[in-house]
Amino acid sequence: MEGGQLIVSKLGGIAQAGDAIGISLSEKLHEISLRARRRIIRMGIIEKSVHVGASLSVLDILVTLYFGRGLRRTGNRPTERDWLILSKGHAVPALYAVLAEKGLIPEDRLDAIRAIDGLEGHPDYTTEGIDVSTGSLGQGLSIAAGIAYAMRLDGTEDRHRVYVILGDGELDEGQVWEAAATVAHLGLRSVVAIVDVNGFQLDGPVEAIKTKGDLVLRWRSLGWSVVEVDGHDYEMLLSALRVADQEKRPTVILAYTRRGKGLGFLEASGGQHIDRKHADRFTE
Amino acid sequence: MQTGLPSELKGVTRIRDAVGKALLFLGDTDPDVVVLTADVARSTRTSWFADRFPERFVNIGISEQDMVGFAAGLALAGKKPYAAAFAMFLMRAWEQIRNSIDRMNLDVKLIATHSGFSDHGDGASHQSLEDIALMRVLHNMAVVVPADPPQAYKAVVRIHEEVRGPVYFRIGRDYSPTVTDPASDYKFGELEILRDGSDIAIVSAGPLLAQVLEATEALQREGVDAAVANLHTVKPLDEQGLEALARRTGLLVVVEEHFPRGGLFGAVAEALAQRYPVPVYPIAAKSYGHSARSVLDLYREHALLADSIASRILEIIGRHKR
Repeated sequence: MEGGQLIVSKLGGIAQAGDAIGISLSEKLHEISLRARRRIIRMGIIEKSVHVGASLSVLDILVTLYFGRGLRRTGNRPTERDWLILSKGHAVPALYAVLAEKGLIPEDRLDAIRAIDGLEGHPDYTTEGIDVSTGSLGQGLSIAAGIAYAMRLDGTEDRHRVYVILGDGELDEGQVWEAAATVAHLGLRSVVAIVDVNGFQLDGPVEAIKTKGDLVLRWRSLGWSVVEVDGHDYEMLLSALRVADQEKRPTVILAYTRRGKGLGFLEASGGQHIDRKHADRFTE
Repeated sequence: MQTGLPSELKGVTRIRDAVGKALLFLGDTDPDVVVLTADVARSTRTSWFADRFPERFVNIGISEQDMVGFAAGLALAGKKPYAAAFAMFLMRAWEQIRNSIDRMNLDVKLIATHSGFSDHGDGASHQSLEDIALMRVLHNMAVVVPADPPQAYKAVVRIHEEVRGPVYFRIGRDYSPTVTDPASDYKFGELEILRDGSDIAIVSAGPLLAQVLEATEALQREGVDAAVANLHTVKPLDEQGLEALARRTGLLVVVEEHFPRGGLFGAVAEALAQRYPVPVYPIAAKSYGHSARSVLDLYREHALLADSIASRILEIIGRHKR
C-alpha cells in the first residue's frame, strides 16, 4: 500500500479520504489476495495461454468486491441481488481464484483451466458464481445497463448494484461509449463501472496502440461521477465503492493498477503470459 | 390465447403497423415486456408502445450494438425485451447478438423492420439482403418472416407465448398484401401451404408471396400446376414439410427478397440435400438495390414481379420436365 494517498475526486468534495478499514480486514484481504495470486500463477504455468498479467492487475479489485464489500447475492428475483460482470473477460483466472476462495469452485478444478472438460478460458454463465458470459470486449457495460434498468422497473435500484469491470485497452471499443452515454442519460445509478487501468493492451502500452484521452474528462463529460484510486489499495477501493453507493449518478472508478502485479519480472515487462521456466521465481 | 384476427387489426394494411399493434397487445397482457429502439421509434411503430407504456420503453439512440447488449441485460434480469430497429442496422450488431444474446440463449426478440427492398426510397445502404443468412446461422436464434399484417400480428403474439429464447422477426415496411387466411391460427415452425400443386413447388416468404401467387395464375394458363409454400419460419425449419413438397413435385423454386446465398434458398437446399435431393432454384436479388419511388420498381428491376417469376419458372420447368 502506498501510504498517504487519498481518493482523488474531480467532482469536488464528494469523495472523502478512505476511512480506516482496520488492520484485521486489511490483513484478511491481503492474505486472500496472496492465495489468489498463487492460484492465478499456477493456472498460468499449467496453461501458458492464460492471461496472467491482466488477471494480476484486476485481482485486488475483485478481492475488494467479494471480501471487503461483500456482494449481496441472495435475493430470489434476479433484480434482488448484486451483479458482477467481468467485461475484460480474459482476466477470468482472477475471478476463478476468488470464487475458489469463496468455495464456489473446487481448488483442483482450477488446474483444468482451458482444458476440454475444464474451466472456460473466458467467463461463461454456466460456471457457478459467474453471472454473465463475456469474452468479446466492449459488451459488458451495455448488459449492465439493461440489468440496472430491470432493477429500476422492479424498484430495487437503490438497494443493489451492477458492477462491471472493464480494461483500459477495452475502452477502444466504441460500444463502451455508446453504453456509457446510455447509462448516464438514463441516470442508472446502480451501475458501477470499474476500469482496471493497467496501461497495457494486447499489442503493447495503451498509449502506443490508441490514445485514450483524459479518462476523467471522457467519462465526466457524459455525466458520470468519476473516482480515481490506486487499484491495489483496498482501503481506497472500498471508499470508492461507498462513494458509488451514495451517488445519485452512475459512478466509474478508475483504478490504476500494474499488469502482472506481484510478479516482479512480469510487472516490469508489461507482459501477459508466463510459463514453466518462471515457476522457480515465485514458488518459494 | 390470441388467435384469429383481432378487431384492432381491421384496416391495418402495413406490416410494420401490425407489429406495432402486436407490441401494444403484449404490453397490455405481460408486464415483463420492455421495448427498445435505436432512434427509429416512429419508423418502427414502437412509438405507440412508448406512448402507452413510457416506463417500459427505452430509446437507446443511434447505437444498435448497445441496444442489443441492453436487451441482453434486461433478459438476464428476468424481463422480456423487444429490440426494434431497421434490419440493415441490426446487422451491425451481429457479433453482439451472437456473443451477448445467442450464446446465453437469452429471451430477446429482435424486431427487424424495413427489411429486404422495403425501404425503397433510401436505397442500398438501408436495404437488407443478407440478414436471413446472418441470423439463421446462429445456434439458438429462430428466424421468422411473416407474410402479411395479420400473420405478423399473430406471429409476434403467439411466439411470445410459446418461445423462450432469441427470435429474429424480419418485417417489411408497407407493401404487404394479405395472402394468408386472417382467421387461421399461426403455427410456429410449420410450413404453410397457400396453394396446392403437383408440377413444381414455390417456396417464398414475406411480401413477395403476393407476386408468387399471382405468378401461379400465369403458370396455370401454361398448364403448370404450382404449389406455393409460405416459409414464415425459416428456423427452426420444417424439414418434413419441405420433404413432402419435394416428393410431391420433384422440383423446387425459392423466391426471396434476399441474396440467393444463405437465405431461404440456402435453408431449403441444405435441408433437401440431406433428406430428399431434388433440383432447387433461387429467384432472388441480383445485386444491391438502389433508390426507387416504389418497392415494386425494385421488384421489377430484380425480376421479382409476378410475370418475371412465372417466365423464369417456365424456363426451369422446361429444363427438367418437358
